[in-house]
Amino acid sequence: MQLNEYNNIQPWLYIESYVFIWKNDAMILLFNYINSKKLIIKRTILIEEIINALLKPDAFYCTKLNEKYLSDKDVRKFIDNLSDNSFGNVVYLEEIDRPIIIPPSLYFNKMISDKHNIINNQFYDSRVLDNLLEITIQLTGKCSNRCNGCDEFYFQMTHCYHSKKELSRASLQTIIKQINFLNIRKINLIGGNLFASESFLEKVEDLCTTNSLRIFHINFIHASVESILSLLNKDSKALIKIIYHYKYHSKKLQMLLSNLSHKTNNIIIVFVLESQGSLDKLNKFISNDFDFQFEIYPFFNGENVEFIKENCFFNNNDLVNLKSSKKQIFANQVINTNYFGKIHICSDGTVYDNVRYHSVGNILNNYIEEIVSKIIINGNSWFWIRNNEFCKDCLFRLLCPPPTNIEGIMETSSICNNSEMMNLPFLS
Amino acid sequence: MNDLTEIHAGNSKYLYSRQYDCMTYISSNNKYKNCLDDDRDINVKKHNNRNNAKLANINIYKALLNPNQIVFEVTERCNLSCVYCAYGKMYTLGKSRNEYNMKWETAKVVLDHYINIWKKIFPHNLRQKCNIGFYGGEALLGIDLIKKIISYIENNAPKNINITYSMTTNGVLLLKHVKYLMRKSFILSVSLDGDRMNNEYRVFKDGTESFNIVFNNLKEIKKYYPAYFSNCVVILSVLHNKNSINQIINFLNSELSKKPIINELSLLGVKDESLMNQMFKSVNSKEISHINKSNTNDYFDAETTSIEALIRCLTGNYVDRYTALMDLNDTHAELPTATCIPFKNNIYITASGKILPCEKIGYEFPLGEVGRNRLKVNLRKIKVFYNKIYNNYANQCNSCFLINSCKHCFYFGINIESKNVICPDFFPKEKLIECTNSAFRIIKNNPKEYSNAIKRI
Repeated sequence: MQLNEYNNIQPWLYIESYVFIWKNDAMILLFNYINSKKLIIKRTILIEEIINALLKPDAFYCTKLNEKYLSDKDVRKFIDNLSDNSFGNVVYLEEIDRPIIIPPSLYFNKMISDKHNIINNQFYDSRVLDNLLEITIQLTGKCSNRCNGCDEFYFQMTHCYHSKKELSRASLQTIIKQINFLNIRKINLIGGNLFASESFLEKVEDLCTTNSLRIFHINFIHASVESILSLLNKDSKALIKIIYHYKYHSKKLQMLLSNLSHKTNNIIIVFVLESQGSLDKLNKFISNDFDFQFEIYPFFNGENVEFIKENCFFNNNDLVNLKSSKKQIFANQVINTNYFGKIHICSDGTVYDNVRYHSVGNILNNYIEEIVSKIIINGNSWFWIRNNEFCKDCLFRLLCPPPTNIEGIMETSSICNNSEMMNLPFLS
Repeated sequence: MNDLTEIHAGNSKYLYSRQYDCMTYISSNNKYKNCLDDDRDINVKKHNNRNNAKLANINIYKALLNPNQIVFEVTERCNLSCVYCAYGKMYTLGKSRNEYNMKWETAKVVLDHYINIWKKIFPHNLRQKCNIGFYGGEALLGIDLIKKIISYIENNAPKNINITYSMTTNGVLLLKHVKYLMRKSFILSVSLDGDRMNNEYRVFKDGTESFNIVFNNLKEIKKYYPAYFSNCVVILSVLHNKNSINQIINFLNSELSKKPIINELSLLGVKDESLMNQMFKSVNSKEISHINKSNTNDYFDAETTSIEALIRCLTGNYVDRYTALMDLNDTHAELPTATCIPFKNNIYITASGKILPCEKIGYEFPLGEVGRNRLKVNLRKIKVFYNKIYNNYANQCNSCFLINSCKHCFYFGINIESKNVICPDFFPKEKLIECTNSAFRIIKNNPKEYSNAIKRI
């Protein structure tokens, strides 16, 4: 590359509008949100000056390069890297013709971000209740089994749990009436033992009057061919997730599934894994012409830290292979897409935005609008983003998936196995 | 449509991708297409074909159960005869007015319909907000009916329904009724076009000016009920050849401490073209460039500058709701144009008992009527009508660069019932280039304008 300066024509370095720039004390990360390519640069004084100049609000991702920069070896390497990977380039132009590049930067409607508007019921641009997208309802807490960890699974995934309460059909109908006035996309139904819920099939009929996707989360120990078929007979559009823990007999699961092989469109198997052994068993299980869709959920049981770290946490290689769209990056700045728009209703009507935290009301006593407003104003799990001490200076903060309860339960503030980002190689 | 569009802005060239919401700078020495062409394996924005989107009966039914606002046109009569009135000689709508007053029986059928829904269908623990609006003619000429409607609501509506009231008025009778309106916490939209000279088109039937009466009424209310005036009174001004944005703003700010909402004259259904040509002034007129936009832009309810348009529509950086950040399959968003689902925001009851989508839509598009005992609304007919118009628009929407930030209501198109419908807000490549050119020119001359635009949005 020839970098000359003559007459009024000067070299301008510009960065493309599809490139995010993030920096911390040691490194600079450039991320191309179209193909997820990353460029990680060690900070030098001159490169930092250039990056700061590019990031000035009035610079529009473009800055003039003078001789000081052009004669620096690191800067030239940096520019070559940018150019070779389509992150940006140098052009020779008069100032009047300098490129104007609009950087990717999230601008939020003032009406939404101002919580004062919500408190004063002036949230009319996007009504508060439009933010409610998914509801989990515990139809009953009753269950005759006493599984180990019964009180813990539902903190980490959609899962049954034991309680003495039963949501009456009348109460469910009240909730359904509300759902019909809202834009709820998905309703998750859980137990206790769902099939032991009073008037279960009548409740299923009631739920059929909603336009939302209905997902019944059924523990394998409660599942039988007859009960599942009777459910699907009442609600042919329902999705059934059979939750299978690897402590149960896999032959029984095989038998169940072979009798339900004509219902593969309605059934998803959820494998809950707690150890490397269960992961190995799963690999064997699903290699045998497994026709059902399946999902895998790791479960932290207090003793399997190494298993979780090995399988869920990120190492450097995972980080540099992270892919993300512009929308996902913007979302990670503002909301937690794992939890946003979701509430959990217990069988006694108590409502949580996250079952690990305090209740936000009771669906049978409080206006649902009040409950959702409270969640938005208090900003718990819906707005739980990676701004904790550990993550806040990480270059990958906005590329990482949003935090989940498993991190909270493990009392760790990140899902990183390795914080030594300094060791990362230059990427191209 | 090819996703990549080349734009020449000044001496610079850019490649705009709708799919990726980005504008790639093209220099002579870069391989500008490389990046956009390779590795498209991540979840990117989808621009769905609008031809397939359809409104369903259930969408209309749910909206009809639960509108944000119910507006009663309590009378067609008016004590003014403003030159530019939509129901006057300047527009074709004028013919359809018969000086009707709404009958109590008509209002009662509507009220009973909704009170019944609120009581029997609406869940007791879903607090509903509903605004009851009053419109005219001059709404205050129907004050007796207004009082009767409010009294009926207070005596019959369930308590979980949070009902508020609003009214659009010319202000002539305001002082006489202000105590009642204040007691009911009415939000009042009062029309005033500026000072006496600015307001010359707002006249009584004998041609005498209304300014002194309306202005004095407003001053009195400001003096004796300052909190109400400050919080609940909105001034609406129409821009025309006898006023200017500067004059309107300065007068209303200095005399009444109010920021007006400024609208242009409507260009729909114009009968007297020469009078319109004489009177019309656009909020985009040159005078805006002589004043500080950061102070004036709050006053426009429709127009944005090219930089704001660029940020809102072409960069993909602007988000107007949290759910826009989620990956949702929202079928409503894929319907052509930005027309409201019928009844979702508004149900407008005319004095003669017709049901319209809102007060801005002409009488020729009724969605139903108020019968003796019930609302007569044929959901299927409305669905077929809307889907027909959507279909007429679909091809234009598919090739419009504002497809994801459209604000166009299809009722305001030209020949909407024909396949040759024209969307006045259609934003083709040429407009994209024009807008980008204009925005980049302003930014180059004054980079701070971009930050100012961000603050405004």
